[in-house]
Amino acid sequence: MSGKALTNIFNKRAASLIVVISVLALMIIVFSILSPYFLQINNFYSIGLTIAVLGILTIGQSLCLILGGFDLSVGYMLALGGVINARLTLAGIPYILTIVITLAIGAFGGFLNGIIITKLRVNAFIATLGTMTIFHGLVFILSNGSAVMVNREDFTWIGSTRLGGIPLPIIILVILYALFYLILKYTILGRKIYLVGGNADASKISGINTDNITIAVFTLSSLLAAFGGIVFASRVGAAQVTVGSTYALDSVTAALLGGIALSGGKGNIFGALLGVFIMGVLQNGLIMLNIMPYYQYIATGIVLILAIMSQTLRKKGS
Amino acid sequence: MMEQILLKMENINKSFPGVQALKDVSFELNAGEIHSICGENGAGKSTLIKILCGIHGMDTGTVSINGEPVHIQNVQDARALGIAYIPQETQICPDLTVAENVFMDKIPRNGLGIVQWKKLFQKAMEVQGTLGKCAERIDVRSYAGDLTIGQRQLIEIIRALTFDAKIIALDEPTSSLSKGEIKELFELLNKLKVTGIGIIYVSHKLNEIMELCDRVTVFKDGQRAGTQLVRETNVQTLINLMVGRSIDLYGAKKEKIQGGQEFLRVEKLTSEGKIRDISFSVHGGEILGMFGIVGAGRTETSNAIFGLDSEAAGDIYVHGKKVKINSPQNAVKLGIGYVTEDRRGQGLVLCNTVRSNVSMTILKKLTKLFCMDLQQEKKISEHSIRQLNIKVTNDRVMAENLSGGNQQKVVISKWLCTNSDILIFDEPTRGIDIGAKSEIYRIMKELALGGKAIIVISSELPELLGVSDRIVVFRNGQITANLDNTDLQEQDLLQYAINY
Repeated sequence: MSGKALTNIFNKRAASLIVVISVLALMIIVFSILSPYFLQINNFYSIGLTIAVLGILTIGQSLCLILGGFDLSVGYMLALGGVINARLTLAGIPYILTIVITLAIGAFGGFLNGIIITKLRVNAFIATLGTMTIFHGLVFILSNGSAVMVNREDFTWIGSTRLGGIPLPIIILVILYALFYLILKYTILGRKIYLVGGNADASKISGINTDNITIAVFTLSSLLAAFGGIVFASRVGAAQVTVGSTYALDSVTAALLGGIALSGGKGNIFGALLGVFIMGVLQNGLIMLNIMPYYQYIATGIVLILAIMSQTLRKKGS
Repeated sequence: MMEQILLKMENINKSFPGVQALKDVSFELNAGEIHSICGENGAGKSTLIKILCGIHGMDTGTVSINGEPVHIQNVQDARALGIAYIPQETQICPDLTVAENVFMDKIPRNGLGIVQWKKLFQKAMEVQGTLGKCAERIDVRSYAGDLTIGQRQLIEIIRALTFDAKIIALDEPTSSLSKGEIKELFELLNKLKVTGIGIIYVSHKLNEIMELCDRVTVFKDGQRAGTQLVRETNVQTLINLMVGRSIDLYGAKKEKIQGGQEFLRVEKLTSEGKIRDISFSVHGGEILGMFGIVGAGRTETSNAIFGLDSEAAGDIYVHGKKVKINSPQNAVKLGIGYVTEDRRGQGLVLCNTVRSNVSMTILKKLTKLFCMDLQQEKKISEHSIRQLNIKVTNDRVMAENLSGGNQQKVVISKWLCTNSDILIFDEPTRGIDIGAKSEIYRIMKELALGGKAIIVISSELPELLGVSDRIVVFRNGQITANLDNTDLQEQDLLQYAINY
């Protein structure tokens, strides 16, 4: 293949990201023309707060997708994390300890996902569909089916604190993305995620323990989901039981919007953040315009299909 | 008998973005002729066939059949003109029956649109009957997915016959066939040829071309380098045409290294249903060839050595010490490297860069305190590219964009940077062009001369005889001979591989 053809391919990869960025820019321009309140810093904090939880979840989902997997259980792990955290707080346990315990349980759930997928050889989609249903059940059992209200001041600390005017969940979101960017780029774990996702057989033959990587990734995914649940519960001052249903697929949508491939081995974590941001802006903008919020789903669906279409059309056009 | 020109393609030009794939190419096919198109990868042979079969459009040029100019816009046009294409990877539906696969779009139905199964099977058997004994063993009611690769190919040929194909183009048909299947395929093609069908045979296996074909057209860099009658040419002439220069494929015979240490010894390696009582050893400085027909136990043996077969039992000694290898990780740690048969499936991470493919075996070594030393990684991969002369603009190129030969070199470099002492090459030159082939042979010899122990598995006898110091022959999961490669002839090895 000639050098010219190769540069074309590089441009193509960059170009699909450019499509997503232009969609985002276009949305911001349109919304700010239509609504005078859109382009204000407080509105962006509000967008940030809305997407913080989905953003945290999407990190884990992105890792799973890059690995060539899929984690359906993150939504109900989020709900479960919130409920466990709330129950522990109500039991009078120090808040910091409740967080540690909740995260440990979350990690254990993901570890189970990993074991089921690697050692019991169940396909990731089915394995996490199963655990998702189990987590769903646990949420209802632990909450008796209704929101768990917590009236303790420290419980809402994460959700309500601002540092230098910036809401803490947004700061956490940015730090986590930076951290996982570094992990993917500079650590052996990050590299192995890309290799195993790109070709598990080749990785295995090259001496990589593919099972351990898979277990690590699903553990991280659940851990992040449980943490998302803590942040969410802290913002509302209560653990909601119904939040789990849409988050898993929303996080996949965001990751795909950000250019992470379903086939594994490819993708950039900042792309995923971009995807999350698009979803947040869309939702916020429509609310600003006084459009019924249900339309956001229709808009998100259209944007997703357009974004992916632009990538595949580009591939064919060569 | 007057030779009747069946197909004429003249002044065909075709370019893809950045590449002129065909330059003013002309090609002729007679009725009742097997005409080979050969050339290195990227020489344009597949492009020409795909234009003929309506898969690609051409930029300029004319095609005529039986003297009539034709316009082929798509696959349907080609079919209507009686042109059949048998691709390298057979395209069958594994969960449908053989008969359904054969008739595909012409499955007999009654007035209500309900499939008439009896009629379908009957018709399938009729076509099958015309093909003779190689087709007899196939049950038209069985599922296509249960067939061997050779039989699947047969289905495609039978399918071609159902629409009265006059021209059948086969793209690298023997690349995954066993010796026996190749023989059957050749018989069948010879039979079809007598009926007046013109056959285009794309291949770069020169010995097959010499055995089967009537004429051969050699492509080089998108142009026709020459057309010759097979009975008037020889392998060396064809090679020279393909590469445009004289090339000594296997190079000088490697000098034997005496008194090398024993690096790997295998004793009574057995895996139920695959291999039985396999014992052999390889020394530093030695190239050990492994010959046998597909499925005779060669790849199964190397998989067992490399920890990929959990049922294998037996003793393995590395540098004289008895070892346990339960997983590839153990094998890699012991200094064994494995260039697998399936380069794309098991060798490379295609969607990652050349650099990260080269370094994937040494990630631990590249890590200092949690962080990978990306500078060091870059240095190592650039060094590998120079060392093995890998042709890429830079090492950030995705592995999928490299040619077969260069991909193979990337796989080899990933084992060279682990400093493995024992390297297993399984069919290392499959599907790569002649220029790259001779480079791979040179690399293997240099590695052996540098003190490494090399095992080469191959189904190509000239290749094994050209590079090995010693050859073990496999048959039905056992080793039937262990021979020094001095004055060995192809027949000697074949005899052990087939019966003894």
